[in-house]
Amino acid sequence: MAAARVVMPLSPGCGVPAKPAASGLTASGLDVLREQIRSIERRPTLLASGPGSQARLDDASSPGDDETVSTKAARSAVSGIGAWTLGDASLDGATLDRAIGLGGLEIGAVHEIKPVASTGWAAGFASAYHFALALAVRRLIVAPPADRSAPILVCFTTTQVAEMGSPYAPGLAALGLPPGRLILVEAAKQADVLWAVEEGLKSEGLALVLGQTDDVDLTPARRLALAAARTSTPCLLLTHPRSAAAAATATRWRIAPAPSAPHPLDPEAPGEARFLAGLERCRGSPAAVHPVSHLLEWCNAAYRFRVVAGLVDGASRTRTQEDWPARAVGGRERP
Amino acid sequence: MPWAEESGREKPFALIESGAHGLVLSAVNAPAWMEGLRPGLALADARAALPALGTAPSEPEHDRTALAALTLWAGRYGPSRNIEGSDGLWIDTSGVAHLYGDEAQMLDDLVARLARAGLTARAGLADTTGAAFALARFAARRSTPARIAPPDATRDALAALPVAALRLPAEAILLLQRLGLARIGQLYGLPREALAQRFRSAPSRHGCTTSGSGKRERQATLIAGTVLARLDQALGIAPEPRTPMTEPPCHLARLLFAEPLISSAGVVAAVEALAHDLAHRLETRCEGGIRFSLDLYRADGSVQQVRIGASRPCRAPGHLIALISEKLDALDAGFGIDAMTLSCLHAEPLDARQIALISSNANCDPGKVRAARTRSAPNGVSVDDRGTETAALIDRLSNRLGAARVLRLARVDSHIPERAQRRIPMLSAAEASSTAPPQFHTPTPLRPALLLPSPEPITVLAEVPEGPPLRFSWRRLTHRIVRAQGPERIEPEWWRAIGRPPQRSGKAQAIHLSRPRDYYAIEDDTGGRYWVFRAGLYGRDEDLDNANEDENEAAGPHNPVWFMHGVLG
Repeated sequence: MAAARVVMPLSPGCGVPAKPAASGLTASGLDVLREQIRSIERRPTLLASGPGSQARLDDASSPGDDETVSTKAARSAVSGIGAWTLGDASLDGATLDRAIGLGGLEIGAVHEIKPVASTGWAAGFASAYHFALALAVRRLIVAPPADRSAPILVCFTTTQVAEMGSPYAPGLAALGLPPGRLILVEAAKQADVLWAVEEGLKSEGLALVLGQTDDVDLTPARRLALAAARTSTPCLLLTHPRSAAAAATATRWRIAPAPSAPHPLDPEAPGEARFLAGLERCRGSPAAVHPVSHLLEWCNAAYRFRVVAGLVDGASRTRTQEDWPARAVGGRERP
Repeated sequence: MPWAEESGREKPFALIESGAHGLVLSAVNAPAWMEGLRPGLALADARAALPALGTAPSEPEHDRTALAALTLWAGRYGPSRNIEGSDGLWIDTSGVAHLYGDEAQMLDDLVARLARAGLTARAGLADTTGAAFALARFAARRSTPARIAPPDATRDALAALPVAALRLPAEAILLLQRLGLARIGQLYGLPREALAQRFRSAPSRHGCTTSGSGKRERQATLIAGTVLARLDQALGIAPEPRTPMTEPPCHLARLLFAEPLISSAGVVAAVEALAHDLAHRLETRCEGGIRFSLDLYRADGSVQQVRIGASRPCRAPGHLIALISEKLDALDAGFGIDAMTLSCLHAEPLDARQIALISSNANCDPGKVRAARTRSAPNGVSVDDRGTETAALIDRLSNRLGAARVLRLARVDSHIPERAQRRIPMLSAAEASSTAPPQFHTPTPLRPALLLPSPEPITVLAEVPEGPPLRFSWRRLTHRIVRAQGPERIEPEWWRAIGRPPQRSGKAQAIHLSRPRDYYAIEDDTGGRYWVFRAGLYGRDEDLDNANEDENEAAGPHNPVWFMHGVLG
């Protein structure tokens, strides 16, 4: 059932039968090619094999699964780095990360998060910021124990702080992010933000670096990616909706707020935060060609994302860039 | 200074200021002095006596600034120094003289350097500030040895000087002269109690006055006290506290150069030598520095300072060099650098465990340190190493961007949302003392992760009296609300409302500070989620705010005001 719902097969673990090495010459040749592509793209093997990383978090759900066995070796090669997944294994076994076509975010890489341009600027930015914080919470949860107490560097420009405010400790605590763990940098210029982000990535003491800039040029983006890869520190960049996409990123997300479900205890009240998350780029995955969007809900109690059922059943629609302004209320429409 | 150039050509020159009866001279140069002109003389009289006198208006503010710069420069003779009066400065040269040979050579060096800069200076050296002041200004002969009081011989050195050398007020000097006490030596033998007596009996300036002897007696006692105190201070019997211009460092490393340094490579090499020297000094005391200062004394007499801070006590030369080299680009060597000092302004004990950790990259040049810092061994990093790494990162960020831009969040016990947190610079002392990170209890009500700098007024269509908003506009966009949660009532802190009158802040500020707030979490039809509040209640304003009538009228008598306080995302 799980395999049937996979949207974009991106690895042998997902699309090809369970034991790729044993299934003949073509399959192994394919494997060699894939391996080469991965090494070119500096992507750890583990991260391409989505279900295996899920098995680490929820071993009981699929103890006899061949995929788990095959990926264990890969995991031990990258020893100790937990996969940065968006959600735990959900009830029916179809995990969110497989549904999205992503085996978990890459740790030592840059991930760009862009608000959608069509909705109000403030709501779009706040939604993207919330999404980034949720990813940070996920990172703390799945990280090895030594990383869980590490600080998080958050860099903003002062203009952004003047317009949208600065991180607010009780709100962060409510999200599950200990505010005492935060190192907050408010820089006057974008260049200073990028410098601070790079310094943070070069330092080995941090769990995650979150930076907000309008745009990132090619060379700075490449520097950030190299620094992140060298220290295995993840980097989230929150950029302006209308700026050009940053280079050398592992994934690029396009985030829009979506109407929430009614609160379970109070039908009038807003429920958990929902995001219409478009994965515009995913290194080493076909998703990069056809942007896929999903309606995600952040469960504040369980600290995980959930794909809202309506879209999972219908299999996610493939969208193009032109669709974006038209689907501000994407959650309502059923494909 | 213009008059310095003039004095080279031996022309009489004076600075003038406006006095009670017209322009008067405030300072004269040597040729003018030789012609009999003195400060305080009316300009008209001076011109009559000496028509060729050149003048310029005096600029006490600029003089003060120049004197402060000179005092800063004088740090090459001792870190503890400050301005003295309007035309002098003192330097504590304890332990410095041997660097220049002996004390006489040091004073010669000082005077010669100032002369090269075009300044005429007189210097005195003694055990106490008072004695040095007296020798510098009143010693009879101009030769340097005559201006140095040998250790423990201050008494003899001062004996021949006039009493004016004791830094006394004019009336005290006048009184002493009336009593025939012209020299400091004459005061030594006087019985202390008798001095006040003799002052009382001294003839007053105005002859016999009528206004009672009680006042005069008090004044005489006061003057006698001043004279005795100044004498004791000059002789070292009574202590005289000195306030240095810059805080005296606990540890100091110093380099003097025979030839002024110009190349940046030379400066970098000097910084490395200084850092190792200072690290050694700190190590012998088992201490680590929190704040450091690098002073570059330039050949033109100006000083450039670099201040750096560390988040935890540190003495690793590599780390110090890395922090300093971030700021070296901004420095200007000018015509060359004569001397450099690296001082530790604040030190704290640094225990053995931290020594071992830091000294792992202690003897490296900055390039190697940087390379070591970015080595790719994510799995081999222990928790302690992480702490050191993070501290080093905070240091680098704070020193480059400014300490006020690198912050941490601390909890404040308040229900008012904007007061529930405090932003504290990472490098502040509070951080150094408290090791445990602040614990935030997770509040059950909803809070935004971004709080606007200040609540922004919005126009709202809402149910009266207590309904959530149905529609609102904020920043020129209108939003239709489909879901709402609330209200969450937050009352103002009455003790603050009383303590702070509202006129200091803006009108809107005053309203939301003084009224109870009802917070709503609302969601518009596109999924945007906002955190808004209503300041005040419908129909109840006269009960709440009848103390501030004017404010009521400005805000509309019965209308609560709505504010946007954060976007929930």
